[in-house]
Amino acid sequence: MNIQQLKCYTEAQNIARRTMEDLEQYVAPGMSEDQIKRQAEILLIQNGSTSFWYHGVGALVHVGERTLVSQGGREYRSGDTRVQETDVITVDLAPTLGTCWGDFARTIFVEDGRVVRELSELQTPAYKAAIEAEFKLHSFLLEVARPEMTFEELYFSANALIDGLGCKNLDYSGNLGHSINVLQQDRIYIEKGNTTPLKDAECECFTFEPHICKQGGAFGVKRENIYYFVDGRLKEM
Amino acid sequence: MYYYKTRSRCPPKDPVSRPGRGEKHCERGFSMSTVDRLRCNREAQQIAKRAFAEVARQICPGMTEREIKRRVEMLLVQYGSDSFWRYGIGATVHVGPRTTLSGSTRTYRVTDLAVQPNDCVVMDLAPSRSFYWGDYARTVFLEEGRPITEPEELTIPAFREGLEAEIELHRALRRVARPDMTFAELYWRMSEELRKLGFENLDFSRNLGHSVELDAKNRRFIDENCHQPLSACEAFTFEPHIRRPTGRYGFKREDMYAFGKGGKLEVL
Repeated sequence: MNIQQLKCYTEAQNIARRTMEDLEQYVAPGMSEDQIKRQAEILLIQNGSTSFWYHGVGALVHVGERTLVSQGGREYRSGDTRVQETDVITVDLAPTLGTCWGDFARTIFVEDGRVVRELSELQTPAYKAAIEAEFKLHSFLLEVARPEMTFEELYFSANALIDGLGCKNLDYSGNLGHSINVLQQDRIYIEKGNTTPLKDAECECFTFEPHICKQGGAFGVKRENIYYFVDGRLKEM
Repeated sequence: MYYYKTRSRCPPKDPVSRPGRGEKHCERGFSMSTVDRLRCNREAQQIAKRAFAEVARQICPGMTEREIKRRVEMLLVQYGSDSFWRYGIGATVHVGPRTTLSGSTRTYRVTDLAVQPNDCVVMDLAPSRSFYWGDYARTVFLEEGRPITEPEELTIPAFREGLEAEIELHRALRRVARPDMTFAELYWRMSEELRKLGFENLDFSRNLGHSVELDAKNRRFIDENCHQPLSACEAFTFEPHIRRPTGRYGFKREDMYAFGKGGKLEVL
């Protein structure tokens, strides 16, 4: 990836990041999933997104029990499920800047009617445990990923950790992320059978986005970043 | 193939959280009738018309293409568009001399070109309701800084003639189109009308519109190569993008049409 590309992808990702920050200030109990999706997309446009690369959808939002649902962009329909006083919301954003994608997901936690922006301040043990598992997975990725490692190797080792953490991979197709491409049909996935080395992903970057729940849990969590290699070590975009 | 008026709204969008209520879902079109599908298209058109009307009033000299695109896309979402079906882009906007440009939306890049006191702005909107398309284009004219969309208010002859030609082309379409007419026949008839009015077709692939589908790849075009009857699709767009052969500006006006009872063409 050349400097110009890196700059463009970073800016697309920053559009998503700013949007998530704005959205955290907006979300409140009583709001519907559809309302949050709409606001997220308006914020993406306001923050500079020139198109939505994921099937024309800018934000996939799931509220409450629906955070367990995993579906493709063509199947996704935002609903009228409303945020409760204590609740979980997953938000997956897909802005574009020219031909560069952003891809950024976070879980928003609401406790006693307010969004908990500092995750270290979470009070609900189940929320704490779930998001800590996400952090562990991303830390694990940074620790083990090497340019020669294949997508499949990453898939197996990360899934083993998901099991070890007492969690379940909720992704509808079982993958944990994908390459970043100019054309959506060229995407390759962190999945079984993909023996491409991580460094050979187009644009030399990929997303990591475990969508997980604790075994038997009543909600799912998701956290997604784009990563790329600098001098053989993985870096978050 | 035929469209009947109905007052009910688009089916609910959320099959996961609202199962078993006995309602139909906009679920990839498999469980929906033509009437339901066209209702979704009509809703998407209403979203586009509303967003356009609001932004058209706001356009003023100095406003950039980028700002117009941003405003209209935000309104599309606000008014209920749940995705942008054309390469993820909700609105292509062209200002001034760029109104003559035509190309695939895939390659569209918005610019910071600013609107002048006497100018033209072409907007082409692509909202969806549960993945059912809206497709709506209009030209906004500025005279001495004031945005105008009706021909009788226009005083600059080139602008007035451009808008009148567009309106006349749509009138001609409603006069001649029949369900058994092929896309190619319609193309030739409308191309002849266009030529008689003294304009040329600016479209990069020479077409004048397309069928309305769930997947953009399945579109059939109003061009010389499509020999299917118009009735082979449930709805189609008509969107002549035209200019005078020596003109500085391009004009565009797009509506979505479906045949109603008795084969009469209706605007969605």
